[in-house]
Amino acid sequence: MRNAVIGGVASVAGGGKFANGAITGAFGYMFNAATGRFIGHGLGLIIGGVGGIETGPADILVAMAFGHALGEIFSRIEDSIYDGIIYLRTDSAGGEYVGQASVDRYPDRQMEEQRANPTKTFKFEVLETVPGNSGRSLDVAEEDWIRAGGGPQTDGGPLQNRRYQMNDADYRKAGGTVNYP
Amino acid sequence: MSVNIDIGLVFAIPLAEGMFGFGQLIAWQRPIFYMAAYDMTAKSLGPSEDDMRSARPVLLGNFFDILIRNGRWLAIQRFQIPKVPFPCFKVRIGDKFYVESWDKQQKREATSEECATLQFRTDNSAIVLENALKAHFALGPWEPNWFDNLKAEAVAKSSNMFLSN
Repeated sequence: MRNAVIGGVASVAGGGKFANGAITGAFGYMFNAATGRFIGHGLGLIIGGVGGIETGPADILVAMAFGHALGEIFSRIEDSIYDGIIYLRTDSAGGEYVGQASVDRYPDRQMEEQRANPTKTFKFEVLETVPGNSGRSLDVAEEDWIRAGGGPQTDGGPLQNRRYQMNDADYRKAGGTVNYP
Repeated sequence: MSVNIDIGLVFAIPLAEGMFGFGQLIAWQRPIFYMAAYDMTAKSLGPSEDDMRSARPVLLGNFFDILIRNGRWLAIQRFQIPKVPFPCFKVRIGDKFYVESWDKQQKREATSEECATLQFRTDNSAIVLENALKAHFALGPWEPNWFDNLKAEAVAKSSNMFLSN
């Protein structure tokens, strides 16, 4: 069986410059991998929620919007300070999933999978390393590979991903160049 | 007697009723061990140091140690580590591909031929080693997509690739 994602490698057009910057220092440890958006979202909801108490329950929408905006900001900060990885997980049935993780978080993610499924056949491959100071967004990189791999099954593609990582407008705005499959 | 799961450890892999194959932990890089599996079977669990010294590694690759930890593979004891090749991988950073040594200490830009030949840095679930060893001894099907890159000759070829440029 041909590996869809690996086969699509030629169509991934990446940006960014080579840099091998291991991020150190206290600031780099403030945010765990993939938690930036979550923290920002939570903070936004709390702050926005306080406003909602003062001005009325309808402001929950404002709180959510505020939360979303802060989540995006934290996600960007997270992207800029962490080296990230785009990985491909393949199982014995040929199922493929494209994911992202920080370099620190990636080993744990693999171990979780192995502990949960000790006798399952699978492998993890590192498709791309995205240095935190490269200016390349981890979301854009993941979206590149999802598109190169043919897209999620829910959209008629071969990948086990439940959805694309970004909508097309945001992806293009962020510099993405790979067309939908 | 408990045995530390550490570099040098030899372990027995059940291949069939009363038949064991043997593997060894060669190196470690969180969260993965670089393991070797040998062209040697036995009906008992205790290979001697001489047995290990004369055994030929036939499979090499990155695997998790879960099947040692859960007792499916039986830890025996630590022996001296043989000299084995380590694979190189292709890694993509920004818009370029690089050839990177297993220990990540060496890296250079890859040629298009190397990009076509080398695999991405790959970590396999533990059962892949067991199934590949069974297949090596014709006790199961050989699955090229999963096992070809684990063959010692294939690893040696990719290992040499780093030196070729």
